[in-house]
Amino acid sequence: MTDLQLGQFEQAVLIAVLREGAAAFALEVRRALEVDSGRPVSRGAFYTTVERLKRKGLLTWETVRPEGESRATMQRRFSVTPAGLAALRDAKRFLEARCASLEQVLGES
Amino acid sequence: MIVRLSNCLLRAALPSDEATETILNDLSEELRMRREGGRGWVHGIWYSWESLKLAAHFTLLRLDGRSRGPSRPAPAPSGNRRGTGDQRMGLESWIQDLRFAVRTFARDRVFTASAVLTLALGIGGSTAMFTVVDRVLLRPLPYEEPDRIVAIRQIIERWKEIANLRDSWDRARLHPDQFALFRDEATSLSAIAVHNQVKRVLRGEAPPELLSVGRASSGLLDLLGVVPARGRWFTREEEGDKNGPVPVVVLSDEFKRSHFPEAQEVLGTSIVLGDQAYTVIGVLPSGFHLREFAPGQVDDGHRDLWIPGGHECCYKWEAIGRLAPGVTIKQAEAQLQSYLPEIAPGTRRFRVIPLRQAEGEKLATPLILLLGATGLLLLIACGNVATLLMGQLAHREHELAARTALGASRARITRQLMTECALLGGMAVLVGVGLAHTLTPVMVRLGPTLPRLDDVGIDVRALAAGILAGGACVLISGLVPAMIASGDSLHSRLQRGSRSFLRRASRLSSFAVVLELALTTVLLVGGGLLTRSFEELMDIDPGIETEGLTALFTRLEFADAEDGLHEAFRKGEEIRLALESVPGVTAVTVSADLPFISKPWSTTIFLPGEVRGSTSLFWQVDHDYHTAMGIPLLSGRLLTAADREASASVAVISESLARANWPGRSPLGETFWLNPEDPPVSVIGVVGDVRHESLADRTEPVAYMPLDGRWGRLPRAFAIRSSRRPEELIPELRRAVLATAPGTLIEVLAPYERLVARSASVERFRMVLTTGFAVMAAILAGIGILGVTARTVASHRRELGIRMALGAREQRLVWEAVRRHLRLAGAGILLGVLLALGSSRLLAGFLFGITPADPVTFVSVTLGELGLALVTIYVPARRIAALEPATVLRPE
Repeated sequence: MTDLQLGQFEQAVLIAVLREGAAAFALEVRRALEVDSGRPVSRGAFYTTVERLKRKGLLTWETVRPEGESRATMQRRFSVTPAGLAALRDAKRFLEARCASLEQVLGES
Repeated sequence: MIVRLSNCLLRAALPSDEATETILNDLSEELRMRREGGRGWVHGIWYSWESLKLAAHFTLLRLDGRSRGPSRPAPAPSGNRRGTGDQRMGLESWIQDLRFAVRTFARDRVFTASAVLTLALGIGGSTAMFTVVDRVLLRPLPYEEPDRIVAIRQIIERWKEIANLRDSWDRARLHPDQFALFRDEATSLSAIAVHNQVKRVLRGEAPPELLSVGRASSGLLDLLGVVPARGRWFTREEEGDKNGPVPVVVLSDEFKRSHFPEAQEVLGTSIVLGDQAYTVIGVLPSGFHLREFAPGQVDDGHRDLWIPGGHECCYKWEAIGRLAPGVTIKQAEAQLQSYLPEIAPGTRRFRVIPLRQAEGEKLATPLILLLGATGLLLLIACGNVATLLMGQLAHREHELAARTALGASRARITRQLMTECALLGGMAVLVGVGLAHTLTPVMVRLGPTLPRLDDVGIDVRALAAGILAGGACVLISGLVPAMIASGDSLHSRLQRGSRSFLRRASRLSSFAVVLELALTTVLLVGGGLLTRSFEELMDIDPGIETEGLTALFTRLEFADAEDGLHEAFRKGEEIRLALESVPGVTAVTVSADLPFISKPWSTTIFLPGEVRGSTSLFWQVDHDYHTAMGIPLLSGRLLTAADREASASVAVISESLARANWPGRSPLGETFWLNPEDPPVSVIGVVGDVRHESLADRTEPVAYMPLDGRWGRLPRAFAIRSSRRPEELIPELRRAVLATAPGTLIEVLAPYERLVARSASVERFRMVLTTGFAVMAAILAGIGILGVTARTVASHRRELGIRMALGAREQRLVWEAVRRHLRLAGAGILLGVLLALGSSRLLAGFLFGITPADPVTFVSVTLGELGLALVTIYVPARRIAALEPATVLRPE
């Protein structure tokens, strides 16, 4: 169990980065977040969140030139750190436990 | 440009680390992907909007962090803080801010109206000017791949010395031989075409009509990527040869709609131009325009009809080409240059420039200077609104203190104040764009003819410019007051009271007033210089006596040269007699051309033993021309009726021709040749110099010879001297001409004074517009000074009351207030004079008879502004006299 609790948007960012894998550049991750949530994701919110996740040690990045495409500029490729993975697992466990207790409450009423 | 500016904004707002560059890269990548879909400028606006949002986000974050102080932890690492819930909260609080701003403005309607109107004036002016600049200079031309289309011109140094070619020496057109060579051999151009404009008289059942007719080679429409709306364009065979083209014609959409009923089939019908029938083979799509460069005037690119051409002699053809795939402008220029030795070695070189740039030639500098003037007006409006805002915030000090006491952070208060500014800016944009919508067509109507301004109005680009101007206003006029107002902590507010804020507000207002006055000085100096220059221009003696003189210019076209000439002289004499019979007419003279109406011919004059010769204008006139026109005889005699019939050629020459060829001695009795094979021409008299095309032109040497039918010059121009006012006489003159020679096409019938004034219409427009902006700026600056002085007097009310109670004299207190503010105004004016000294050099090319550092203008502007400052300072300062110490000192 880690000390860090993840916010809803932070969880969404980490999941999107994991899902995009080797193509987890800002453009792709933000697009995935928009598809997942069904609404536009503000650039400001996104960049602030990845900075915060980096500060917490849950996310890291390397600056590379994307291959196989016509992109010409250096971009950040994000990846989730082991601590990030652990935090996500904790969040999942926490959510499952909450759901179980919710079922219990709903069953009794 | 817009992308570079947005990047600068982002770099300033984002934390400076490696992430910044990658954020910029992310945005650029997205921009690139969007641009692949086309419509680049829409994505430019998208980019700047996204950058603005991002910059605002990071700035607010930074402000928020700073207002919490170093002892407080950084934003809590809670995921909920920036999630969707937080976004909703942000939206709610933003709406709350907006509601509050609406209430604040509704309470203070005078402030709101003056701020909105001031900003709207700046936004409206600059948006209207941007609309014109955008249409004329910036917007891509409406052809296929317009970036690949180029204009081909020549630089011919020798032309600098030739009177009527001097204006075109660096943009000489192509010779038919050059065109033929390039069309067949130049591989750097995938297509090349030539065109020019002529005037032709449309004859038929309706009264004759003078039309603007384009002549073009067969490849023109393909080159531009334009497809005829109906029928077809010319074929290469229809261009004909040196004997003339096949008589076929393509109509413009406007001509087709105005001359043929909707249902009528036009293809295959026939129209008569001059004395020749042309068969209609096509109709162009609506709005097709193609401009040509003509020295001394601006072509709007409109043509009624197009006929084939390309082989007529001399340098008459404006050439355009389409660069072959992968070929650059430099490569094309080099290839054309390589043909030169075959044509004319070492005398000229070719110039290939993008067609867009060629269209904007001669127009770019004056238009951009006017846009700069509206930019200054916008800045002045911003300065004015900043002082108004500071005044309003000073009254709201208690409210701001209360909000701080209730826990509002600096960022929160800044955001509230910026929301108010944005609302103000939004209202100003609405009014300003509306103003621009009204102002632009008026400006276009008043001004000289400019290309691509047919349907000028506010479109998306102009609206975007208006919004951008509004955004800039909000940032400039709102940000600094908001930062100052939100800058105090609660502690300092309580400790120092509102006086500290008032002091800082006063400092900022003083700075704004200095800036406003400085910029106003720059505009007033610009307007003053152009006005003085215009006066100087109007004072130039045209060389003819314009009072009581009317010009009549007819257009005669005859197919058969021999019979035509005889017919023209007979008709000319009939018209002359008819004009003389009109009551009040004292003299009528006939000539081939008239100054300020037609472009004169240029010829080379050879003195005995001279091989190279010198250039001179060549006019053929009737014997009473100089008397009727009021051109003074300086020595010798004028032409007589007998000179026309005499076998020996004689000429009256202008003073400048005499000076140039026979310096220091009398030219009377001297001879010259127009053509080495012809008999010599004797000089019989010298007359004064005349301006021929505009007052701004220099006087050219002229040789006047009898109008005797030689050189094919027709008697088509008449100058009428009368004892009655030309305006009264004109209807009678017109009736007399049409009664004698029905079907005569009258191209010009106008008082000479108006023709001379019209020749300076570009200068007049430039002067009126710049002076108009300068006067608006002066009014705004005056209001600014008035506001600052009134506020300072109000803020020192208590101190003044005490001093009056202690016996200070009222006059002394008023003088002290005036002196304090006059120092401020003096600083602004001084700064403005220094700036104007530097910037007025940009106007050097547009000034006549004065220098950019004209002392009369600088002194008048300085004194005028000091007078304005004195009045606007003295009026509110006089309120001190109305102060009653007892009332002032009574506790509030």
